[in-house]
Amino acid sequence: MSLTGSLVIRQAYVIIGFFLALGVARAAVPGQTGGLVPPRSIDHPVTPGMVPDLLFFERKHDLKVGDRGEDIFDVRTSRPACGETVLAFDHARIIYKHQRFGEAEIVRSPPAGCTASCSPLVVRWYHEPTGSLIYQVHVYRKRIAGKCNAPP
Amino acid sequence: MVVERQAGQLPYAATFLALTVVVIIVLAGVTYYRYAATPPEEAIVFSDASFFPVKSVRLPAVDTPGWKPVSLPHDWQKSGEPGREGWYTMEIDFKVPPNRLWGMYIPRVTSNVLAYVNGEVVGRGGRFRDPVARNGNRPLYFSIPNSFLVKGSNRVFLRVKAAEGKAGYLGPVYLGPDESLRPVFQRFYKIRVNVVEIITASLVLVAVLMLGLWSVRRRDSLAFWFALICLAWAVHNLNLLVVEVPVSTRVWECVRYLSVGWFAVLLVFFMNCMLGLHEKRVEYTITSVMLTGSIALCVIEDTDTFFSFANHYWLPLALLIGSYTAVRIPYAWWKSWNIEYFIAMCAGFPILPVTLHDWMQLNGYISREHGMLMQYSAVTVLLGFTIILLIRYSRALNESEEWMHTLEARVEEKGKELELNYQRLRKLEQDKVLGSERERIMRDMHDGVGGHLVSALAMTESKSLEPETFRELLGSALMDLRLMIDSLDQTEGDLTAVLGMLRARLQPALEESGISVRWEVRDIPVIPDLGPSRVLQIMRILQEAITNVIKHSRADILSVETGETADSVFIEIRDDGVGIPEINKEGRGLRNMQYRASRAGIGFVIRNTERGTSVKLDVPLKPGNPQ
Repeated sequence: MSLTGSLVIRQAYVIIGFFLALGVARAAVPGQTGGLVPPRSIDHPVTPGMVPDLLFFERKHDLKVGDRGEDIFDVRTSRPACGETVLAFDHARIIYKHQRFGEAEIVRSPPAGCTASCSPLVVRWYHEPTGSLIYQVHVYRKRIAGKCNAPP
Repeated sequence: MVVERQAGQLPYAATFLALTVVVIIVLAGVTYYRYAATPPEEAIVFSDASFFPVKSVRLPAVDTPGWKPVSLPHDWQKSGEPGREGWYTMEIDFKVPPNRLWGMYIPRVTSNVLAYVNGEVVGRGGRFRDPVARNGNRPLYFSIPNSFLVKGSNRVFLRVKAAEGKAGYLGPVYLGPDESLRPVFQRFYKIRVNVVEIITASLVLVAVLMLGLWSVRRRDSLAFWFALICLAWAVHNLNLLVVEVPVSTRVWECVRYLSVGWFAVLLVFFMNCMLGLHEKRVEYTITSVMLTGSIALCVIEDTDTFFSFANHYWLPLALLIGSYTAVRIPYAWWKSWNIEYFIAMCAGFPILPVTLHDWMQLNGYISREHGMLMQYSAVTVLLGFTIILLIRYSRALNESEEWMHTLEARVEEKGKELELNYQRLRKLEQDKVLGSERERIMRDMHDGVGGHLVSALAMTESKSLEPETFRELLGSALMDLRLMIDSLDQTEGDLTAVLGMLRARLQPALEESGISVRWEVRDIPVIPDLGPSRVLQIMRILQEAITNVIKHSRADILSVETGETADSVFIEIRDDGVGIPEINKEGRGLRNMQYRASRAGIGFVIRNTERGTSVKLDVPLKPGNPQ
């Protein structure tokens, strides 16, 4: 391949890469409203810091003789002031880290868009004797801006 | 010590290989055993229970006095439980009822168990009446339908009964979902039961093969001793495989102990045979001691005394005898560096520690959780002996090949010698033939041409030289010379060719005499041994006969006829002349013809016919005895 041809292809790669990076950056830029945080759904267990801005909880149940119960999670956040943006609850998903003879499900979820007034998220679970559960609750949120009072 | 150190150095490569193989087998076996014996993690394990040492077929009430807390594994020998039967109970409180098939896994129990869950029987290890089922070597697994287990309190009862002469034992009991517990059980079952089955079958197979080998090669007593060792070992292993024994416990145990003891004795015989030792005194001593012990085992009536004698005297004695071989074989190897001894040493080495382990376990010195192990050491022994056999086979093959090469070289050498001798003989034969032929020609010349020439010479020296007679004599000499030359031609047994040559020689004389010739020569068979000497004799006789016809018969016709009978061919010369006068029948010419015929081994008849004379020659077809 000639030197000119090689340079052209390299430039094309640079341009495409630039626009892709721009798109990703725009999706993650704070201060903008409307987009989910994190923007895409995650189907695997996570560790702290693995996915930026993902709110998640982890619970483990492994009683040998079996067990059942409910876990309650607080998903409230402060109400945004004028000119401020906060991450408000949108929805939540359960991801199993370990599942043996058991199950967990969200039985009560706060309304999407709630902040300080969010009711607790309730997960009901059970596992049979010798079973065990380790699950994570991934909370997806939306960035919302605080409302400013109208000038008198 | 008979064995002597072999020339050369220690075979490092083979030694290292044998050691590596044994170490790998032992390590692999231990690793897999540990893996297979690992208890299931995701199961409920009962390590505490209540024990009620009572002989009862009914479920005992939990609140009955007499229950005592015990930890599992529970060894009755150590805790001093008096009887052979007892009950265990365990309780488990489920917060959630299981929603699938469950199972109960009991890796170790002596000897039999009957399991209940919430009052329902879930399984048993076999017969409970004596002789009780023997599950000491095999893990047990019972399925529990999910309806048997409930939310809240669940109670498990286990009835345990030990075989006669044995102390009861119950290891940890596992409860869990079938899908996770059964594979653990199966894994352990394979190594405790299936592997032992394979080993035992292999032992029997090898024993049969070795006995077969011994039956065709009686002097191979090594195979015989090894076959007996395998059989003794297989009998011992039956104790680990048979659950419900077909005879009384006493008989069964007696056979088992005898098999172990005599296994050790056979080991000594095998070792002595392999090392080439002739220690008759040691062999007699060991045999006598063990025979006495065997009789004692068979006649002791009291069960406790029987087991006490077996465990405290019989087995240690067997162990001692086994240790003797464990010392002698390494010593022999050290003295000789024989790789076979080293392999035997490596292969047999695991027997000693595992036997010691089993004996200590039997007497309660170590935990009974792992069960007997001696059966597994058969693997290295069988492998070792197979390798020894292979080494011997390959050595025998190499030696036979070397012998074959040597033999071929010797045969070739002898072949060359024979060829040389044959050539010499042939040369001698040729020389002899040439000599005899030369002698014959000289004799014929002397008798024929020589005679005529001598007569001619004598005639010239006398004063009465008649030119006609002199001419005849010279003609006869020349004719005889021609006949001699003709007789040397290759006729290959064809008498008609001989007659043809004679006719060509005599034709001028016949034409000159005015006698007409009737040539009635037909095809006649080939005469096998018609050599030049016989041809010459025949030609001379015929020439004499024809000459006589020309000279004396005054015949007009001369006929020559050939024919054949069953065992000869004949040539007949007839004329229609005056015949032979009586006075000439004893003449010199006729005697000469008869003499020649007898020398050539042919029949000669001369007679007067109605019209003249007949001369008949009979030449036998089969080789005769010409003089």
